[in-house]
Amino acid sequence: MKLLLKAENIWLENSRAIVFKNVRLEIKKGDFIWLEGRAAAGKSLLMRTLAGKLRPAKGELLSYASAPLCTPGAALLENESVKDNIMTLLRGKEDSAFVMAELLKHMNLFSARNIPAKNLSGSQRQMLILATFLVLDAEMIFFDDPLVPLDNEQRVLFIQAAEKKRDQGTAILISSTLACPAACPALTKHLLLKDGKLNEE
Amino acid sequence: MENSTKNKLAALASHTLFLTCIGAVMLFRSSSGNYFEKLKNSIFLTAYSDERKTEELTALKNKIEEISGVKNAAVLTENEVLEAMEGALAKKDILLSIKSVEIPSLIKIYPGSLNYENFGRIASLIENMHGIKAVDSGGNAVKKLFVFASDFQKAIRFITALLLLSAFGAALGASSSMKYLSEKFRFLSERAVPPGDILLKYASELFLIPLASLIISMLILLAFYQTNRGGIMFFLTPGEILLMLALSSLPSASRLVKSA
Repeated sequence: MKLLLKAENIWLENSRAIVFKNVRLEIKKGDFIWLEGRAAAGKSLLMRTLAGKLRPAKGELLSYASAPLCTPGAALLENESVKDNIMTLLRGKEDSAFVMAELLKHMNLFSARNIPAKNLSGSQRQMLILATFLVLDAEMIFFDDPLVPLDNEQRVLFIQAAEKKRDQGTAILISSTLACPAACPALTKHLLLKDGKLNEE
Repeated sequence: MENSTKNKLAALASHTLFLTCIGAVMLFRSSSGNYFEKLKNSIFLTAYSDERKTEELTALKNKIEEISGVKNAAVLTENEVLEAMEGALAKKDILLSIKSVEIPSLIKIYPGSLNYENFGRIASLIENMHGIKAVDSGGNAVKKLFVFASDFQKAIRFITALLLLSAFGAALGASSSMKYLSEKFRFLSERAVPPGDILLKYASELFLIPLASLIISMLILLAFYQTNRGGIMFFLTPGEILLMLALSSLPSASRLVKSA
């Protein structure tokens, strides 16, 4: 499998303490990784570091592909409809209308396709944010705490859509305070970030 | 109408208004400056002297130029006055009758500013100078000219302020009309779309809206200029047009930089 990212003993410190230390991680094409950790355990900072938005204090980080990072505050085109938010990212691609319709059905957003993003409910909005990342042609996609505003049904829908994306060869990394749900694919790599250390479960 | 079409039309309208106001300010400033220069050159004092020798007249001229508020003075000797009259008068017999009269030398004095009190002060100072026979300040006609110049200056200041205020409002409008672009730039950059692709995707909005609004505003200004053709108005210089092009790209460029 193609290696997309390699972290060798990376450290991150802030003014108060060490956020994480000696993190070793390899992300390969088609990986599905679940990163669990308590609130303020440093998951978001680790995700940002892996996505190349923060520089580790120590260690070596090699990234062979760009990694869009979906954060809880990710922007949407507020005045554009759900459909247009997706189409903006698919413009000029083959079968864009079909891809868009399929994704919206998977994410339970098809009935809301003509509603402007600003008029969506909190969970619908989060589903749309996730859909705008799942539609990308990236080799890796990172989702930072994506499940919080979603109900159980929506969480399962998102994990299934992410698994489908993984089946197309995209590596998926999801961080959450929750334990890896049963809906996750069988070969999910389950990581736990605790006291600044990253361990595989 | 689609949302994106509405956004583009609003951006085009606000950019055009912004550029038209800025262009009109430039047009007014340069044209009024030129007009005042012409007006200044048409207002002068005429001092008459019985002195005939060039050295004495030059000394008198230098003394006049030392008075504060005097821009410059020009001496016309008796012969120069006659030559000027020969050119201006068609009937030579009038000139012959004038030749029997002793013509004094003239000194034309141009004031440095369009201030009537200053003008009067200069006239009285020159009148009291040794070697000056009389001073002609143009009387009531020149006084009216000063009043007109002062009113016209006030009107130009008022129009300029009004245009600048409108330009400022339109600039705010243009900047806010490009808000949707900054939202789109952020949306795409968060999804790791390369900056080059974003630029290509929105090239029409980034370049065509400023360019189209510049062309429309130029046409509006040109139509206004045509109504004054042959008059005092000057059209924009290439440098000013380039400045307007740079200003027209500011709202979208600032959005691009802000969302980068």
